[in-house]
Order: sequence, then C-alpha cells, then structure tokens
Amino acid sequence: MSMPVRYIRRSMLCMLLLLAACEHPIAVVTPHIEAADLLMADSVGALLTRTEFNRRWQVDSLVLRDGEARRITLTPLDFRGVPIEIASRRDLSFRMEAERGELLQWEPQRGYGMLRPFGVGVTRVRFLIWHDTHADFVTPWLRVQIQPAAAAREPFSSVTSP
Amino acid sequence: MMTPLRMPSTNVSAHRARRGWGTRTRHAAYLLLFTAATACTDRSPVAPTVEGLTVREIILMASDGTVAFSHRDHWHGAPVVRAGATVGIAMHFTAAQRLPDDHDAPPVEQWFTLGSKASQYNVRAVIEDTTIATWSGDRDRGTLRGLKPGASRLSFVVRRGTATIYEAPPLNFRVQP
Repeated sequence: MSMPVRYIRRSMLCMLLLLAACEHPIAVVTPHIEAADLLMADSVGALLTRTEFNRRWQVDSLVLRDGEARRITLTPLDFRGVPIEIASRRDLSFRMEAERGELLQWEPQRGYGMLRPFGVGVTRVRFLIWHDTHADFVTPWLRVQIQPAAAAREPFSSVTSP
Repeated sequence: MMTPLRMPSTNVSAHRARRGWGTRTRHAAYLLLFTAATACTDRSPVAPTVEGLTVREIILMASDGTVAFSHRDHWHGAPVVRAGATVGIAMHFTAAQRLPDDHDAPPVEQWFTLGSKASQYNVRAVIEDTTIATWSGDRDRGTLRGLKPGASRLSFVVRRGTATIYEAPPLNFRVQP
C-alpha cells in the first residue's frame, strides 16, 4: 500500500522546516543602542568632556599623568539629550581604540573604566559601545596627551552640562 | 440553462469535517511547535567550530603574585618588571568566556595549561619593542626580562601546529627603572 501524496508532502515540508531551522536558529535579538552623544566624567562625576552631535568633542584634549590610571565614566545620551541606561544590559560594553595602543590601556569595569597610561606621548582615542559583534556607537577621535608624572596638570576647564 | 447557485453550508461542523480544517490546524500547530523547539535549542551553526582544543581567554600568573587576564578585547591588569630584572609568568587558559560586562577573573577551576594538552598545541609570545624587554619560555611559562625603562606590548597566540586557534588582545606592560 503506497503512502498518500499528502503525507509525503507534509513530511517533506517538515524536513524542510527542520533544515531551515537548523541553519538559521532562532536567537534572542537585543535592541541596538540609539545613542546620539557621549558624556565623559571622572571618578567624582565631574564632566570632563562630551561629544557634540557626535561630530566633535567639546573639550578636545585629555591630559593624563604617566603611570597614573584615571577612572572614567561614560554615559550615552539619546537624541533628546536624555541619558540612556545601559547598566542592565549584559550584552553591551564600552571599548576603546587608540591610534598608539602602546601608550594606553582601557580596562572597563561595570559602570566605569580605567584609562591606564603606559608612556609619555600623544595619541588619539575613540570609544565604542560594543553590542555583541558590532559597534552601536562610535565617538569621534579624542586627543590624549600623556605627560610625565611631575609635569601634568589638570587640563579641563568648565564644560557645559548637558 | 442556468447553473443553480451553490449556497454555502451553514453547518460549521459539517464544513470543517469535510474540509479537515481541525486536523490540519492541529498538525500545523504541532509542526510549528516542534520546529520552534528544535530551532531554539540548536545553536551550533552560529559560530564556526574548530576541532580540538578551544581557547577563549588567557590568564597570566606572575612570580610576584600579580595576575593579569584577558577578557574578550581587553586585559585586566598589566605585568611590571624592573629594568635588568626578570619576572616569571605562568600561562593558563580557559575554554569559556565571560559576558561583556562581567569583569571578574575566570574561576580557577576553569583554568588549564597547554602542558596538559597534546604536544601539537603551542604558544607564541611577541614583544613589540624588543629593545625594552624580551620574552623567553615554553608553552606553560615564560620569563619577561626588562632591558630598559619604558613600555611596550606583548601578544600571545595559541597555535595547533601552525594554525592559530586563539589570539589574545595586545597586553601593555611596563619596565620600571
């Protein structure tokens, strides 16, 4: 007794769906961060600099002392200037790229990060909000000057609050 | 001669029974549920798999008691050596990787050394500026020798034979006077 055609069709459809499912598994997709700007604050919350329409940095230079790590807090803003809460997002992290990576090391922690200078010199860095496999947000380049420990001074004057 | 209009049946049960909608719907539902369950549990095709050992992170234990470990794209901690001195560094690895926002050191029970694996696995360490420091060692431990004050970066690559299976992010280190 031969198998009815409709059963064969159903079986083929079932196998096709299973194959398709194996090739493209359903995964949990988390939303991208729709950031427009980024604030950079120091360990006590004082604003060091911020991006303007993510085109440039309001204070376009950061000065560090050689051998002294600086605690940095980064806060993304949405298009209205409202801070975006990303502390609860386990799939996001802040990354840093430096043109001269031998001068600086970025060590992120939960809620903040440490900028560790490793030599005297000048480089440029930019920060990324990293989302699993890609960057949701990339800042403009920020100039970083690392001075000898004795010669450095506080570089930032007042910065307009957001 | 006109064909008489066929009026739709008002008997829903008879209609469904004739068309078989109840059975079809049930089968379709079972099929969808089964497919979804299969798809949700199968994650294997997402990332390419490499046969053999999996290395996701590296942990460096220095002879002075300090620890530096990689975490995805960055490091936590950095080795320090004095010019003219050496520091011994033991290399451990993990096959697991912590979440992007989990910056704790990998649990010790997850650590392993390449010495406990097949001999085809080896590690290469490269220093960017070899006038500042040098590295020598085997696949389990190495010696970082400071030559002159300064800073440079150290890269670790784990290979199976000549094939790279893991590449750590560059590690900054400092040679102190």
